[in-house]
Amino acid sequence: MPPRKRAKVAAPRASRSAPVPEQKNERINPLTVDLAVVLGSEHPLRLERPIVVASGPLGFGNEAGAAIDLRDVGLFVVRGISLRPRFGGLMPRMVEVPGGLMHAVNRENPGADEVMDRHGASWRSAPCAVALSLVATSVKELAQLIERVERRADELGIAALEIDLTAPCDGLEGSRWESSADESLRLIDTARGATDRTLIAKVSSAASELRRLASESIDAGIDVLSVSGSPHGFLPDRARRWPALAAGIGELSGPLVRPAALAAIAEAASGAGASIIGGGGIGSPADALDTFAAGASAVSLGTALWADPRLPGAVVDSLRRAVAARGETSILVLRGSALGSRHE
Amino acid sequence: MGSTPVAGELLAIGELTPGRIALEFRAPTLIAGLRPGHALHLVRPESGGYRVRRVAPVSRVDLIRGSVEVALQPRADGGQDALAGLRVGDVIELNGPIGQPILINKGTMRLLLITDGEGFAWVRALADAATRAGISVTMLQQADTAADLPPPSLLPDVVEIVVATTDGSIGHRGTVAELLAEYVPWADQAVVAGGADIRAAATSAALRRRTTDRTSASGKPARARTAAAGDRAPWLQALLSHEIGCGIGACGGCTVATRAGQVRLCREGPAIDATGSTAKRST
Ligand SMILES: Cc1cc2nc3c(=O)[nH]c(=O)nc-3n(C[C@H](O)[C@H](O)[C@H](O)COP(=O)(O)O)c2cc1C
Ligand code: FES
Repeated sequence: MPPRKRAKVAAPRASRSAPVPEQKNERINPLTVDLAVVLGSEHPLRLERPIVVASGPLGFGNEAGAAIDLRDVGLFVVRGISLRPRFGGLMPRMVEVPGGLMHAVNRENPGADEVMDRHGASWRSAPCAVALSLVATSVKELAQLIERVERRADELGIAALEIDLTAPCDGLEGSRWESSADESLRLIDTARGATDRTLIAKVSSAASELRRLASESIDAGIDVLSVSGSPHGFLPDRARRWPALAAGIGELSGPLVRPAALAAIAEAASGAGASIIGGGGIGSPADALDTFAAGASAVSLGTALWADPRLPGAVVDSLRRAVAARGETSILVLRGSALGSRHE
Repeated sequence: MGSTPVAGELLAIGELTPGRIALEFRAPTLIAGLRPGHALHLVRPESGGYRVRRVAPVSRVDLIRGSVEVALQPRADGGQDALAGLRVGDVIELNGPIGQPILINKGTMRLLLITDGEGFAWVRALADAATRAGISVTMLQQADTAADLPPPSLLPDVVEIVVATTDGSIGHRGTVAELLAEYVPWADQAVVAGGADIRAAATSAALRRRTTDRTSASGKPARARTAAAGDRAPWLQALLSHEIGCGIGACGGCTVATRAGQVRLCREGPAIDATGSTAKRST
């Protein structure tokens, strides 16, 4: 059978950051598509695949390799660690909500030293890059935490540090860092002064002044903005007439956060600054493609991995096919393809 | 996640207690490894293709039918449960076993189970297994009213069922807490599964029992009863349940702090040492 001619499709309007070329007629073998991305420029982080495992759902490290095939992943972000042990709340800590789930694990961890002792070997042997997610409630604490992890980061094969701006900040009376762009930028500035490693700042769709944060965080020293965090949620337990989570307020994950996450990713991408890791509610390869189309350079997968450990592999396949279908060989062609004229 | 998922065909839908659905799946390759206390994760696409792993206690294993019955726990948000919409013949993914079996000591001949509508599913399989092993089982059941109780036919005939209802419509009017003093001295071991109230009552009774055990009639301290060889389980185990999560001990969504340390219910649970007298399950 002669090869079928592909119909000529009008290209979507291109974004400033990622012009989408006209569909080409050459046949591209999906396996030749280059999925590697380089995030950031001052302190670049090269990911062999543009897929990030979100901090938390797969733990600190030891359990992750048995749960999913990390060869399909570009970056594994370790569950949040802090200078001193942090305790989570009472049960229930995690409940199902319409369209997803809500948790209040509260960044529980036994402290950076113990996590490095117990899980460091799994990071060293991981077939992907590894980032530590840092939880600090003050600027001073973050500086001390970075100093602590920097002592061992090379030996443990740590490629990047993620600053968790969705964690609570003492100076904001326990509200999240991301609720103040000024405080967030101050924290980032401190982090930059303390490390030469790639810095990622993680925010949720609820971050305030996201556009400003996206553009100014580059000057403050951030390389990558991860717009993949959980916004807050609250739900009563109807039978008990009590909050469904013992902690009351929790963090949302799953499809219910996806539309807001996509809006935030598009907003941040339009701020022309750091590279964007996009996520929140990605449950399928199609969801991942939407996230690239909204302006992300890499996608973050979280709780969907619990029930679908093969999701990273499926995303890899569909990215290759989507790029090849456009007659291209680089993943960059997908970025921002849905942003349209608003950002031109 | 963790274990390899198994396809389970839904054979029957029943009710354990009012509003608590039991699903029986054919899963012959899974059942050999299931013990009382284990749960399964049920995986089914929900809205938008997103799939969650729901914890469902194993309430019965039928070796002849090659099937396992699990109980659906009501969602805290009272939301429409996609799993409740399953029909006989549907096939879903089952992952497990999740957690550790409930430990029954070699020397245990008298087992006390303390439960309510919430906890019944967690101990039903234990009542089956214990009676098959020749252990005398008494189950104290708590409910608001008679209609909320599980039908006695769900338990082996030899299980002694003692009921307390808040409205007195059947059995003792009041709570099982008021019956514990009578049954605690009888039991070699006890397991409580249910809401915070009955767990607290059972724990206080277990602590009182320990004090009594260590004190002779004259009021002088006596040696604690010597544990039989092979005893590993504490006198009272409390079963705690969680709704969803990774199931591999990674995410922290099911961790509880006990006197013996942090316990991840999906790995070291669901049974914890309620009085914290041993450290056997610390992580
Ligand atoms: C149990 C659990 C623990 C989490 N722990 C962390 C954490 O330690 N640090 C962090 O930045 N995000 C944490 N998150 C948030 C996830 O990284 C992710 O941002 C969120 O789940 C939304 O993505 P998803 O919808 O793809 O799961 C956690 C989420 C869950 C469900
Ligand atoms: S459900 Fe994740 S640690 Fe138990």
